[in-house]
Amino acid sequence: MSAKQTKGAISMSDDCACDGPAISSQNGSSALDVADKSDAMYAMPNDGSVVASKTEEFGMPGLNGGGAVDAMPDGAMAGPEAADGAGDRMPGGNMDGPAGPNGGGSGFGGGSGGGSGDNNGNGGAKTPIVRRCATMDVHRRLLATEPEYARIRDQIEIQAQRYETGERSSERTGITRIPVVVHVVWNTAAQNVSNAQIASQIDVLNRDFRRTNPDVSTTPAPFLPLATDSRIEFFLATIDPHGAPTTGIERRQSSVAAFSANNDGVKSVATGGMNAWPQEHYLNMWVAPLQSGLLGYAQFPGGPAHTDGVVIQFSAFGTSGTAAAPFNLGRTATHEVGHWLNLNHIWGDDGTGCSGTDNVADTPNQAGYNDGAPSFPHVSCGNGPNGDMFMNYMDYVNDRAMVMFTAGQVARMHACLDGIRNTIGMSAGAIRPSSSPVVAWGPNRIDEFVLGTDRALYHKWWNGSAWGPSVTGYENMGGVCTSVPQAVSWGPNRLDVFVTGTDSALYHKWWNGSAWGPSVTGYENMGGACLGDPRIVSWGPNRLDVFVLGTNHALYHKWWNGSSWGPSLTGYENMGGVCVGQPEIVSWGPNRLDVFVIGTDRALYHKWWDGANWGPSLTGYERLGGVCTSAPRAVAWGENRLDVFVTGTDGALYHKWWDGANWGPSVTGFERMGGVCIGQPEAVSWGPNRLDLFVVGTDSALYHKWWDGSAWGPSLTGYEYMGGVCTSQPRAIAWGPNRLDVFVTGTDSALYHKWWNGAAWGPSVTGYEYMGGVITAFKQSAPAALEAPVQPNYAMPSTVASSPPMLNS
Amino acid sequence: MSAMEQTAPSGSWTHSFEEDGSDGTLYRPTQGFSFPPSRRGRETLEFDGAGQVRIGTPGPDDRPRLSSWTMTSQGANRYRLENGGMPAQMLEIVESAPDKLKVRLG
Repeated sequence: MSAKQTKGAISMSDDCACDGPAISSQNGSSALDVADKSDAMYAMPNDGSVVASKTEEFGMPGLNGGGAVDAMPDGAMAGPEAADGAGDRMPGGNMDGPAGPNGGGSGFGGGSGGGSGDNNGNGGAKTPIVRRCATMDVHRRLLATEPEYARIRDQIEIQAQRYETGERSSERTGITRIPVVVHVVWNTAAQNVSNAQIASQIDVLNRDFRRTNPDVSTTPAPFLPLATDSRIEFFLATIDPHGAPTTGIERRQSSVAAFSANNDGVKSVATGGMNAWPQEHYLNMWVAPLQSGLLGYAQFPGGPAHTDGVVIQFSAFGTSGTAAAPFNLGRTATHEVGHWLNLNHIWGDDGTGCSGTDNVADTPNQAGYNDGAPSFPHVSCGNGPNGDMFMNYMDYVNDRAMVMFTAGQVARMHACLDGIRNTIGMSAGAIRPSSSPVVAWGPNRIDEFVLGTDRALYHKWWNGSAWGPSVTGYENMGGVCTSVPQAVSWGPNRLDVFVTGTDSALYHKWWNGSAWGPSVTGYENMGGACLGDPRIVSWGPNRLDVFVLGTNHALYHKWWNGSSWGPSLTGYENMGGVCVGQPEIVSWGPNRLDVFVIGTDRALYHKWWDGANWGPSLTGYERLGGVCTSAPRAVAWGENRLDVFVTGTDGALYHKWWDGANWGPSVTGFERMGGVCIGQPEAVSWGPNRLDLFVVGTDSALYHKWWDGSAWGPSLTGYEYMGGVCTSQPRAIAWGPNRLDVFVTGTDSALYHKWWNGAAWGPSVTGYEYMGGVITAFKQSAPAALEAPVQPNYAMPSTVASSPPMLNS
Repeated sequence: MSAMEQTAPSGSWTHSFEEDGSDGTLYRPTQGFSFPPSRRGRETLEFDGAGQVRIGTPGPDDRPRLSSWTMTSQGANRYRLENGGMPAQMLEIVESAPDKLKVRLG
């Protein structure tokens, strides 16, 4: 999105058909419909009493731009005082007491633990000389006879050496998450490994590559400091190459009793196997019976795309089912994926000689491979006293005896990820949206959370085929809530929901895949005295970052690191500032956070976490200009990409973006996108370089515009009219490429839904599916409105760094 | 061990390195022999019966590297193996039976 736009006085009505008369509730149903009475326990209070005059109320006043102001004036910065509070607790102090909710059938439960954690060992035969000589000869011949392959391999090695020597370092901050497709090719039923066995293999990869494998502690002391977290994780793909939802697992029975590694037959449908998925986006992993007892094999990066990936013997895959000792700890895949990321065998593939190298400096020179479970130390090539690093994943020892990658190996893998595999782990699916009342933890899955008239939390979900508990029914989740519920998902079948209680403290509940914690209607008390809605983002599995405003309008932060809450269960990190709108948080990559708030001068302010530090400082903010009349809405459609949307004093939508190097159109400038918007805009991205925006116009109808990678549709300042009379801001979510689901409340306070299926809007462009309920909180809660704080002396800190990194142009 | 001239080997053979002795490397029929699981790949010899042998050797990414060689009998169960890009080597058949093939190669 590079187009700079001169600002102009064009109202929303310039480009959209504004005279659409009426909303059309789907299937002829209307606000008169009530919740499913047969499912009374799920019905929201007052469902049955709702009477709305659909015909009248859905009449749309014309949408006319209300005297649009043609520019978004830059706001002057207000007073400079910072509002750095001391300590890590929010003003309002310890609110650990009972929430004291009234009614609603269930009060908040007491605090009880965090979210569920993710729980989850001699030198024998030596290589015959003939093997090693022939191996190297063949390798050299391949390089000599395939000049293109040789050229690519040269480039890969040059890149790797730069990383190995420290000349360059990883460009990827945080965790890289690689989607995996597992092709199960089986001949006998026993070889058809279960989903659970596949999951056990993914778990092993994640532990081994993140250095969270418990047996890393068995690393001999001299080598233990070298054991390194690669910051690479793996997950079963959720979107197939055609954009459809997938389990990341495909299966085929084959007539081939055992596949030969000599011909890669397992990698082609034509030879009894299964074809690779595009290697630029997926790690292909074949599980099959292999000839001659071979445990597995890989293909270095740079080889043919249609055979890229790793192949694992079915009996050496995962940790359960068919996995058989001593290769039943999933380490065959760890070893082969190491090759896939360009790691060499640790002994250097020169047979038993001492002249070979794995091109990694921090691994000892080693003669031949080790197998079995050697005793430490095993000395060769004069590498005493510590000897071979046989416990490295890239030796040939048994599963239980390999436990580590070194820092040098990690650097080499990252050279590969920044180089020839620079597209892997960078898909839209790797970007997690920030919290919303509507969340999708996987393809074709939607969970939404609303408050009823009793201010209890209610839940409904789409499971891919039906709405639960029913189309118009809701699951009562207890509580008496004072904020719009905010839900986020850090992994498949995982939900974390946050609300504030009547004591203004933050409360949390979670779905761990099988049950709600601490209970269906109970909540974990997280302390604090919050103003407005909390915002949460997850930049990686089992990671949550929660942001709230304190009663002094400063920003506060807490986080879940996978095992505990920081700075404590009920404590908060003070991040300064005086914010007049709700904070917006987005993460464009692992261990990356970008926070946007509105200051007392109504300008947009920004701060960021780069994986190591807060920028411009813990309590400082980068000023991004503007005079904003809505809270910011930010979305990241790719790594190091941000798009931020606000409304201006003329009600028009304004946009600015970070392209990885600069803010566009300028650090403090905004692109005017026309319209006269009511409330906060909604922005969502279903793929790289794609944005969809939804706003409510002055006629309360829903309007839509989109960025298709090259232009705004229907035009820069135009909007697509989508009907309706909306009483809430729109909530949109994309659970897959070219898929959108939008939710609003109607004048009857019921929930309405529409969707884009890749080809058309359902139930129609201007129609909505009625989803029942009487919803009291779906838009931003009252404190979220841009009300100036009562403390006039508090201002957005003037702590814009003198030369913050993002100001570079 | 037979000093008698044997017929040229044929078929596909896989290195059963666990059974190697000092007098050569032992190969078993690729099909029909139950090889124990091994992280280390196994060398293969695929004789086409027409004077060609394809040698498979485990590569640095555990994927076999294949090379084709022309066999020229040197007598006494010895063959000269030639390949356009690599130095020639000698293959000696030390023992041959339907279920085993013991060779010296180098």
